[in-house]
Amino acid sequence: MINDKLWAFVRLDFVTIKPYFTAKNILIYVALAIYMAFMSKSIITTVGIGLMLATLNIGYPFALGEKCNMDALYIMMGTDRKTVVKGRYLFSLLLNLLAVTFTMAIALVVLFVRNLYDGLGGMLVQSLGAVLMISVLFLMIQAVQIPLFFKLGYAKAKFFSIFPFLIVSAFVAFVVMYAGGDGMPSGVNGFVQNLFESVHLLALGIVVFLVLMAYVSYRLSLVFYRKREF
Amino acid sequence: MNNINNIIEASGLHKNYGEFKLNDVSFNVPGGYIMGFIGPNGAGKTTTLKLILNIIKRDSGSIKLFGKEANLFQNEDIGVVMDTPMYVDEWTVSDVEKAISPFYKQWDKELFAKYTKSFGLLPKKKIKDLSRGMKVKIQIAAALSHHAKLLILDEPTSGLDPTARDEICDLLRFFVTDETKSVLFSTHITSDLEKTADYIAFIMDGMVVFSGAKDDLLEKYARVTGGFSEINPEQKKLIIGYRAHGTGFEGMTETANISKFKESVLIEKISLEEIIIFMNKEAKLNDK
Repeated sequence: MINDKLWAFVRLDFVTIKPYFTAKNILIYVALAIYMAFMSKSIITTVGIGLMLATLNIGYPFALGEKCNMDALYIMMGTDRKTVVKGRYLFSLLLNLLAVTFTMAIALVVLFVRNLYDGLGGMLVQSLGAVLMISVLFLMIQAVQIPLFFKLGYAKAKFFSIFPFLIVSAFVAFVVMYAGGDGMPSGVNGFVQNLFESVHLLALGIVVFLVLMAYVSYRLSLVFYRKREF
Repeated sequence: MNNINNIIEASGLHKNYGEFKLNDVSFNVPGGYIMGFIGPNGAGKTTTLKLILNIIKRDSGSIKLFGKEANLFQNEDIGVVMDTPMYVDEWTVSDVEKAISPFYKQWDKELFAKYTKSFGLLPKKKIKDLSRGMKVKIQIAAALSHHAKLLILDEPTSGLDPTARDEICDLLRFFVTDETKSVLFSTHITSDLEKTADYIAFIMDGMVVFSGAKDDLLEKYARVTGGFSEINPEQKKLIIGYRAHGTGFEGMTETANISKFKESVLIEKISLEEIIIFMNKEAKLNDK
């Protein structure tokens, strides 16, 4: 059950980053998405840009919160730390959903206009899996970044928050290079091949992985944030 | 001051930071009154306020708010005014309402509009463009718009011109006309407290050295000045914050000791500011 304070907090996070969503910035985001869709002729690249921007924006409430001592403000308004952590994750999830929906819509329109697909349905089916995969990658990055922000604060964690990008990029490169190849132990190789061959197994694996990752990330953030004093 | 009408009852508060500790801090703030919270820089005023607001955790002691053990959710009944608002600089006045109103069940939209209008706060004006006085006023508008029963102010009038300070003091006086409401007002500007405060809690080096009616504090001490030849070493020991200058000495003493001085020694009424200065001076003398 989502309580009033949790929604109030999510709303506060959106109001906090609102100054960054000026007409000029939104125009730049739209132009960037259109440009990427035109150049790459791919939904996944366009959505990737959207998720990249969302990942950057997720850091803003931490940055502004630190600058204005808003962590103390949350408490002064009767918000417990658990609600703050939950609210920040909910805000991040909503921001990701907005970014994916927004960039996917732009990419679909651009590709449809360019007649790169036969129909809207075909485009969606062909790109949905890829969009899901890239979303998982960005969620992995954010799952590492958010606890870092809660532990160290934005200013100190900014440098370390680059590492999740590098780690996930290395992980992706590893999977792309070795998945199904001879470089992996046969047991792992077989498991990866089975995973990619069975859509249901893959979907289940992704869901289990996401839930576990989100849970561990959330618990760490809560432990870190409870120890901080403002 | 131990009665059921106390809005704040702080008892035996301890908080240890290693290099600084809050030691056995106790005081009560009765309903319908303004308590001034005074003390030199680093005495523990802000730490105490943070403990009351649950921003930091106490090592021991108890805090009761509105007669109940203090908890985070009671903060909805508290309005906090800091010297600098904890709002995003780029927010407008109306953004402040959008951001904070959902946190308060009793938020009164019309009251916020009324206060911001009477304070001259334009809805589209950004926080970063507000003067220091206006920044304090928007916090007061927010505090009053959720029908806070307790106002906690941390140095709200520092850096403000006398007119703006007077306006804020007037607002506080009006606020406590309802005896279910109180103000805890931490400030260096003791002249504001001379005008508005009914009670004083005086903290030094993490310890409350006086807590009670302001008049009792002002009557407890007196200013002493005179020539060097007018006091002997025993009398000098009775002077708090003894300071020698070219023509003699000055300091303060407890009024109970006045009769122990020669009649030629000048005994005068003392101000809150002088009490802080002499107390601070005494603490430094004892440290040497």
